[in-house]
Amino acid sequence: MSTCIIIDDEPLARSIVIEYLMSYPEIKILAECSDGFEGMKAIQQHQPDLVFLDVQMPKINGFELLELIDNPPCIIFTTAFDEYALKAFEANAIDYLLKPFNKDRFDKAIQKFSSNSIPKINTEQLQIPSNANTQNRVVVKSDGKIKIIPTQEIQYIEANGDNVKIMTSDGSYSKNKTMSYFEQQLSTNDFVRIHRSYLVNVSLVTRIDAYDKESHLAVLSSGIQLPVSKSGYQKLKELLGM
Amino acid sequence: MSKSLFAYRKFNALFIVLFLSWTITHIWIVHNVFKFSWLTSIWDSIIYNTILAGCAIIISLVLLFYKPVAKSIWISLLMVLVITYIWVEKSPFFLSFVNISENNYLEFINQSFSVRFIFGLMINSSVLGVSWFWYGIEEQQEQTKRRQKLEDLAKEAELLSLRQKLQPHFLFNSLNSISALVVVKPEQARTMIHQLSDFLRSTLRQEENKKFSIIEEMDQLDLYLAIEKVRFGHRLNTKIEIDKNIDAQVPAMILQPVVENAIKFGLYDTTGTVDINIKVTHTNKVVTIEVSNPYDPSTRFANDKGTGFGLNSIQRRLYLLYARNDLLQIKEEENLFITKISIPQ
Repeated sequence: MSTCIIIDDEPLARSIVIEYLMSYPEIKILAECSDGFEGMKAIQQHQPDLVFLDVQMPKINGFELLELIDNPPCIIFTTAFDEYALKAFEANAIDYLLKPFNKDRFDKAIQKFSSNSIPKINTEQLQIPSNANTQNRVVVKSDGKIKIIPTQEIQYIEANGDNVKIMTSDGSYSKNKTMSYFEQQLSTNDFVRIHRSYLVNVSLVTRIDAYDKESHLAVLSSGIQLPVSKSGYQKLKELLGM
Repeated sequence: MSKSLFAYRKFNALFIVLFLSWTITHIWIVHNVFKFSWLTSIWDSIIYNTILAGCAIIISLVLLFYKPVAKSIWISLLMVLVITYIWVEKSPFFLSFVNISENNYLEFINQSFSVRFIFGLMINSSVLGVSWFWYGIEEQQEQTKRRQKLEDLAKEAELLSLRQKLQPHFLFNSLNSISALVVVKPEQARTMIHQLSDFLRSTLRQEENKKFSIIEEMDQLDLYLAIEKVRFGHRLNTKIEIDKNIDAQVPAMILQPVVENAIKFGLYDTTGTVDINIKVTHTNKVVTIEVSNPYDPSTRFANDKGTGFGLNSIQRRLYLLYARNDLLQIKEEENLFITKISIPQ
């Protein structure tokens, strides 16, 4: 016996999954959700084995939803967008169903799920390898609430043990990701790794002061000072055209 | 390849008139000034001038096939010089075939050599100059035409590609809805198939630059909205305000993408009910279409759907069609995002 949740913002799209699942009495549907917020809550509440997940949904999309979950279940993506397929497989999704999909295709996806080697979703891999497709927002959880931060509101990102601290004008948020993840995800024209522990929003840098022989200090418009390493200084200089 | 000067009837007429009037003047001069008999004057004029006309035609034709660049114009001038010289030198040879009895005529030919040469040089150089400019202008016009054609083709291709980008996801999601309906509500599935077919057929209208009446386009939009309501029925409400008597023309497929954008923006930026209001007004030879959708100002900048591809491509199309960048405007009022497009009539 396994359990599943269906997350899709179109009722008819959900109904087709329900219909196809009727031939699998061993899979129990715990919930149906129509947006990412609801979906995230349902996953945390019910801890299902399997999630049918649409990509484009209100507020947060399917990929952002996965980033917010601590122990993601098995995922089968269902979407009309084929451009996310690569990203989905890199994230170890079980399958990627392109709408409209038929019963045979659906059955294959369920077979993969039922077979012994179930890949666990790897959220660390949920990143787009090319710079052309950088994120323009970051989704974080804070006090149980979901917060969507536009990247231009991020002042800097600081390494903090296994997590990172995302600093904005109205507070700091923690996210379970690595510095290099953000370095890849954020536009290299806007964010620079000025130090092993700091990724800064270049548009907010107002001044660069010399600190000692090897290092510098970047002063942000908010007055915050951040250390700049030797290689970070080179990158910063290049980007600012100094 | 340019057309020869002699392919133009007007030019031919001018050429013949000039030729005849000069031939007659020539006869008159030889008879009255140099006191030769009419017969001698006529032969002298006809032979010299006919050959000269032939030379002029040859020069003009040479220029048609071989256009020297400005730097090597001296080659053409040299050609004119040689041809003219041969003309003055060899024309008397043809005169020997007709019987001219006057004794002093040979002497006259010798004495008038330089005058004839200079005259011939003037005529031939003029022909050279006229041909040179004429063919130059023709070539330039042809180039402009070719460039215009290329630009039109590029514009057409861009408009086509902009239009086609708007389709696939909508199509696949609609098909998915139909697939679900087939089992539970076959009647509704059939209705949706018909609506989708009608909608797709109208988007395939090839004449991109053709304009359609706004009422026709609104019917079109109704089809689109009917399909979207099947997909998002529980969340999507639309209100259309339009005077059914409006007589105005709008480009094909400009209304629908604006509404599509508003719907997407509304649906993906909020979780509640989405009210889309569409208002069409016609004043001062401008049709204004205002489309409003709810949005969440706090995630405004984080969401690229509202200002992303949809509106950019509409702006680009309006620019290609009207060469104006101010026809698409957006404003934000509280929780409403308003897109306004103006179509000049």
